Amino acid sequence: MDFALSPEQAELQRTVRAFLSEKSDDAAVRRLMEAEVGYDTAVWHQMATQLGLHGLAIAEEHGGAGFGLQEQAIVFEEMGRALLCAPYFATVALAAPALALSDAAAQYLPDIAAGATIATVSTDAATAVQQRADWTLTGELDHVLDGHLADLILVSAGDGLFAVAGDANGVKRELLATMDQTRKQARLTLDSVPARRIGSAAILGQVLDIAVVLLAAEQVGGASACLEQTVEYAKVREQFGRPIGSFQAIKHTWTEMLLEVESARAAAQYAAWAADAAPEELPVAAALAKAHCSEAYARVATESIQLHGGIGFTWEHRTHLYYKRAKSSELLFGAPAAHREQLVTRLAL
Amino acid sequence: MDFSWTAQQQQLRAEAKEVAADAVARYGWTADSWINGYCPPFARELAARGWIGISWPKEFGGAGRPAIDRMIIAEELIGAGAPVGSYWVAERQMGPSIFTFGTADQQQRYLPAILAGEATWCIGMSEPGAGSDLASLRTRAVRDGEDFVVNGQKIWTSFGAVSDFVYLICRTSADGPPHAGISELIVSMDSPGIEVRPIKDMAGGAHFCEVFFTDVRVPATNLVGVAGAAFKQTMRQLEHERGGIDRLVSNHALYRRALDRADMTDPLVRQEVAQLETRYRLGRLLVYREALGQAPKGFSAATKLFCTEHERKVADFTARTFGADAMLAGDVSRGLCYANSYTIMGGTSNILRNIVAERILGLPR
Repeated sequence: MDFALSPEQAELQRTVRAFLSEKSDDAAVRRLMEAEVGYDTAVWHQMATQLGLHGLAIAEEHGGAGFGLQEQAIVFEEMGRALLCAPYFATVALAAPALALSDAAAQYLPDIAAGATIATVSTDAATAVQQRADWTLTGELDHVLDGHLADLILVSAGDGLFAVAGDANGVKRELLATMDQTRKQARLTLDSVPARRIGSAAILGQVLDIAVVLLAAEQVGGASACLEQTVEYAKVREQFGRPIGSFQAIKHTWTEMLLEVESARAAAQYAAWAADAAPEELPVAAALAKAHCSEAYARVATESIQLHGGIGFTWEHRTHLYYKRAKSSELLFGAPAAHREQLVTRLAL
Repeated sequence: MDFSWTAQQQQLRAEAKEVAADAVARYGWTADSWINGYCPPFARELAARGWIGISWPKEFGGAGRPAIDRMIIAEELIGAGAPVGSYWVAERQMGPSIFTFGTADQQQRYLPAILAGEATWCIGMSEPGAGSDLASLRTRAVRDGEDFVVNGQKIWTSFGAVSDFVYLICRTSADGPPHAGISELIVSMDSPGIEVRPIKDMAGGAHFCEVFFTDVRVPATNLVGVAGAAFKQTMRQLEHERGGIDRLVSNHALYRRALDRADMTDPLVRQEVAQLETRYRLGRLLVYREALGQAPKGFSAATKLFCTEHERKVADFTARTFGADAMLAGDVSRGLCYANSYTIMGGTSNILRNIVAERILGLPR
């Protein structure tokens, strides 16, 4: 039992935090969230090639660094803090783990590690038709993260998991107007699109456990940033001749928020550790972390707006960006109640 | 990060589960067993295993094992309702205070009986006018030759009626700022001039007491640490007291019985159980982090807050699960009443929220 980051992990955290504080500041976030492409290609390539973030948890044989989910979670925590706008979650938390479990790992993962491929996974299933060795997929896929620009889309159909090229004939992509502009979603319509079967549909279940753990880490990062920024504001903002942070009601609220964040961090770290070291505990730990971290982030972001008062409800202030990310990620891959239901099922209570 | 247990710790937990089950079979189970489970024979059995003071340094008779080993034992014993009350306060808090701040003579005189499970201690801290506000303590000890003469009153003293010693926090000086004149004295409970009156609690129990001191003579050699330094020394003790697993598992034994009875086909019950399991598992992690010394300094107040608020929810769930039967006198109704005490003793939740906000978050006073 050890809660401390290793020196290497602490170094990774420092490096990513410093990088993102420069590349994903408020101005960058606002510029990118309003653009259709939604990410900065230069930053994307620096992340992949200079920092090696895309391939961090990809096996060395596929061009990655071969680290575990704990290191990957550290990166996502920092991205959550900085509200990074990039198709990183879709590519690295969803598609890469799916590809790693598929028959096509060697083909696709090196390009993902290199930052050359943007990929995503649909949680909606399509219908597959086979003609001799060739498959085609048809269906409507909703809420596909970064689906408007992904080079590679992974979709389940029947008992298979399929790879579809983003620009294949018959793929219609529609960027959706989303509440959280910092993470893009698309609706995809597939009409007899050529696809390649790369594994079993069961892969998606395993991948979602990994993705929600990384999402939980991202939520912890967002919640901590929100907490820190709000507490700093409470120390300096004066009303009735004293800092508002000296009012007991505010102290009590923010102590509760601190506990939300610290317990959420424990949940996310435990789950990431389980993914690496105790896979038999991952299903329970993942469901627990997704439910708990989702609610923790949403609460912190909500209270953050309240503490800021009128300014907290303005477009100009940063709190709404966290709030929108928090509410969206709370609902992504199923709301907390669904994960709690999974938790008791998986605990066999 | 590494959340795994060593083979030795897994073995220890398995052994603790067995010891707990055996104790429950022979002595019965108690919810809140660290408060209500007064059972000297069981304390002596644990001592014989070397489990009392397992995390104390070897030079003071402990096993020198990591604090987390003590947590494992405590979690299994209290979680099952095994009666650990008679040695609990002494092992958790007074022993560490004495080996940290006490004289060699005090260490030789008092630690062996604690380690043997033969001495019950209580803490004379709270007063009618002072709960968490230590600086306003009024019980005073005045130096007279080789002795201190103690006069005053303590309240909410757990185990006051059955203790051999009281660890007394009292005022030895009226000079200087209020928190600067407070000292710690070891006082034998059979000293002339001590009167103990048990207080009946709302559950009908009487674990806590009022203790009156009238011209009680205490040898000056019983002063622990530095005169006037109790405020600082006590803060260290509170770290032991507040962030422990006992704050999370007081009514876990009751919860287990409720789970056996809960209607797990009811979606609302399933949601509630998931919430309780979540908070329980996360509370454990916060407690382990304290035990490892990896929590931020002073965070134990936050850990206690998290854990005891959870304990109240467990009691609510248990009552609802037992339904009308919870209205009858018995373990469930006792648990329901006792739930009110977790968030009071060791610092009320609202006071802890202030402490955390000021010391951890740095919000202004």
